[in-house]
Amino acid sequence: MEALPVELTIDILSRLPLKTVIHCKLVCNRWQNLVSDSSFVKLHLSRSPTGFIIHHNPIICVNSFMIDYWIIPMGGNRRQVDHHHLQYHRLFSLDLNLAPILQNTQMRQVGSVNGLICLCLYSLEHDNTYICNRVTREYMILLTQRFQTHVYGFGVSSVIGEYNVVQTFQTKVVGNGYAARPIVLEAEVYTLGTGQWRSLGRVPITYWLNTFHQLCGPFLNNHRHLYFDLDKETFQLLPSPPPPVVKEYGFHGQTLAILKGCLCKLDTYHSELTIWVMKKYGIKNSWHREVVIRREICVTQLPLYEPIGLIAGLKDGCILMVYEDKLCVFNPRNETMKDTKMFDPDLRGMPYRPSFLKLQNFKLEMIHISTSISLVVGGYSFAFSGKVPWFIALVASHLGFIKTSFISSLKFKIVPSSSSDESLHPQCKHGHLPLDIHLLKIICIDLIQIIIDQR
Amino acid sequence: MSKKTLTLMSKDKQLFNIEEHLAVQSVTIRNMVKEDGASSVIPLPRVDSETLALVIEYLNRQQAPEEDEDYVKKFVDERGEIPTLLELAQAALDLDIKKLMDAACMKVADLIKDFTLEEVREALRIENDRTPEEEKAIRDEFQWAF
Repeated sequence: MEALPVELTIDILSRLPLKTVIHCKLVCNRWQNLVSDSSFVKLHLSRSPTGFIIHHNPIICVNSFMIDYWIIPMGGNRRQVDHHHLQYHRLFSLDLNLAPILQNTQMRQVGSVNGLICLCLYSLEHDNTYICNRVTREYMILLTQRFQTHVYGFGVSSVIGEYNVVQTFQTKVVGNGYAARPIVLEAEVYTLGTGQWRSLGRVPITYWLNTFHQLCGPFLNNHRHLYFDLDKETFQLLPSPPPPVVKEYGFHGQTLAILKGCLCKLDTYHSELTIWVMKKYGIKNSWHREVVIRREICVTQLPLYEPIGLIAGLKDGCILMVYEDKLCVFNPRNETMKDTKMFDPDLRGMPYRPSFLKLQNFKLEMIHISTSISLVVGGYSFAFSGKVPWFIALVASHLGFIKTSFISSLKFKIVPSSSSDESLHPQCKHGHLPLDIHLLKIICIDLIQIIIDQR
Repeated sequence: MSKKTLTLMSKDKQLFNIEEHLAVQSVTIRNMVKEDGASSVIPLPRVDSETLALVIEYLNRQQAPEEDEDYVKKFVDERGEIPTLLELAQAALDLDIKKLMDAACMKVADLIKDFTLEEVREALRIENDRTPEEEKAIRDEFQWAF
């Protein structure tokens, strides 16, 4: 049989799961070239099933620079999963070599489009927005001269397919007195590939200071939602669902999310959570009250300030959601809410569709390639591109430079330094770290000294 | 009105008859019929007779549109051998029968998904032209995937 035609090969490869595609790069040179081709990237993306990526909040302290991502495949339209068959597997660890600047920094995931993830890092000195694709290991930094910005969203326009990041910032203060001070916001957009922020002028709505923390994703202002139209580049008012039925004062949390491909709104009160679904996008009358979840059945009854992170409709009618920092399943038939216990608590999640989309396609941008491991010692950052002597990783782990959970994930991946023939340390394979800590400290300091001398 | 019949000829010169209204599910044949009426025999120089027989069987199916998805899936499932599926996908590509090609490619992808590299090469008859260094470079680059 002669070689398969290109068209057929691309078609078959584009239907494989992400990791298998990467394995296929090893099959032959021709396949590696095909997989790097833009027509493959496009076809693969169009067939790439959406999943949820779950990660834990990085501990905001010195040397926290790795985030482990897990993916729960949700399948395509025809292959939806039910709550008994939820699976998950490790996707990748994200490392932006940011260790030095991650100190005293807060990180927020803005969103993900076509495999590109938008992250924001806030610190006292600077705010930075990162776009990265961990599959291609690329990342870019959107530099801004402003401080106290709020990255509002990341999306792709449906007409021209441009990738845009929209951020808002406060310009001037109107009125007197702290509590009643409305904020005047201006907005800017960054189209990937243009290398700069463009002003969008004033955001046509006034905010009160105490609602600022809710500006996550589309704006919420009382019962009005403002969204940014990426094609027209304007802010628009979204038709809202009927006003809340619950006559209750006090906390009312509002979040927008996507459920079964429709925009949905989550109203959170002390006594219940209501999920509204907009069956037809943009049509006010199509708002439908999907479920009401009584708070008695919830895992905890603490007031929720960040109510529900992400939700997904499963095949059996159950709803998967991040609730109280846990991944829970709500079953509307018997009105139960269960912690899936798939992950440790304190997690975050977002929809994610893996792709091989290359950031390099965006002209005028400086693209960085993320390395596998970096170490920060005494203000120096050491980056190793895929080749770390196992003992350095061990030592670093013992000294707390990298998390032990990370080291166990490295067990088969650490490549011995090229200068020696050492094979992987047998105990490292099993995740045991039996070496004497004092000895390790001495070795480590020596090693670090050697590395510093070589710089 | 009598049903018009077309004749298709495989690579090994075997002739197959099929009613025109069924044959035009193939975009390639539809275009040929539109252009010249396709009164003579339609040659398919890349499709062997066994595969063409399968394609004809598929085109002759009598299915309600809503059952069609399941039918085509079952159709390729029953012919779960990779070489047959590849021939079928190739024929569906040439004849531009999208559903059949999608199903055949999907089935191949499902089958090779859990194969080792050697098994993939063997199944698709690919020669390994990678040096150990090139292989290692990829393994290093995508450490998380292995």
